[in-house]
Amino acid sequence: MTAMGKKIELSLDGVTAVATLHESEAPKTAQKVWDALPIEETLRHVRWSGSAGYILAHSLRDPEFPLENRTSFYVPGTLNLRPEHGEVAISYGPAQARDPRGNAWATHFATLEGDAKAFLQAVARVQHEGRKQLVIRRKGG
Amino acid sequence: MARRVRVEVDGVSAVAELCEDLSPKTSEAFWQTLPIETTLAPAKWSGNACYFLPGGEHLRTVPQNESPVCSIYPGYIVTRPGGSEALIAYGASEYRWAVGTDYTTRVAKIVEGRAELLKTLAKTHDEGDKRIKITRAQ
Repeated sequence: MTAMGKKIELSLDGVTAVATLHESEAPKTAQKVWDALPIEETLRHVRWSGSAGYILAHSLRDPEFPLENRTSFYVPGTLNLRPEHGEVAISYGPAQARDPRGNAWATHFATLEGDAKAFLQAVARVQHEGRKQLVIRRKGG
Repeated sequence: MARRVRVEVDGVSAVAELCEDLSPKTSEAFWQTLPIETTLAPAKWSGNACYFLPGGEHLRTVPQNESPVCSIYPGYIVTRPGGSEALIAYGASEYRWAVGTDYTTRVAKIVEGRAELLKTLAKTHDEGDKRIKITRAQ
């Protein structure tokens, strides 16, 4: 594996998708996520942030960790980390980093590749079907 | 004494009083809409709350909020003007959309069986949709 072009594989409810880590735009976060893999956590639907599912990964939680490639609105098909909570949000529609106090910021650290429709539909189903187990691994690693 | 409604979710029953002083038109329309039996789903913008679609014709006749609020206190049922949707909060909640915060009308407040109902509503975060039944209690 070269220093650039690291990919991760996400599995949810029998559906798999691949995402590319944004090593140039979010180098520290991409490395932190890469070092933490594999991650296996419960995916739930967000309550404040719109059309997205989220996991809380203890290994990614660091209130002092800097934001990179900063975003507030989540583009569908992106993975976004709020390091203060160790929260990774995967958006499938209109979504934004929010909490009870209002709008917030996150690091956009990876984007799903190709046709990820089936995977994003699985994320969306969590709202009505309840929590599901999400596994994130190094692709080819 | 305000009219009362029974709220049943997942085998748990509670009683709510209509907010007739705060929202006389909406409360009356809600009362006329009963019984309601429909899907209760976890909200995705408004925090610790669930939403359902009340249906019927009566709430459509009330196109304006009454005594509008943004915060939804735990145990309150609120509706949107026209009855397009209703929410019940089980924790910190504020009525929000993708574009920001909006106003709602308080329709009823749980007065009996509150703690157990709120716990049941909170389970939707892990378990997803449930069924809700609201009927006249008197």
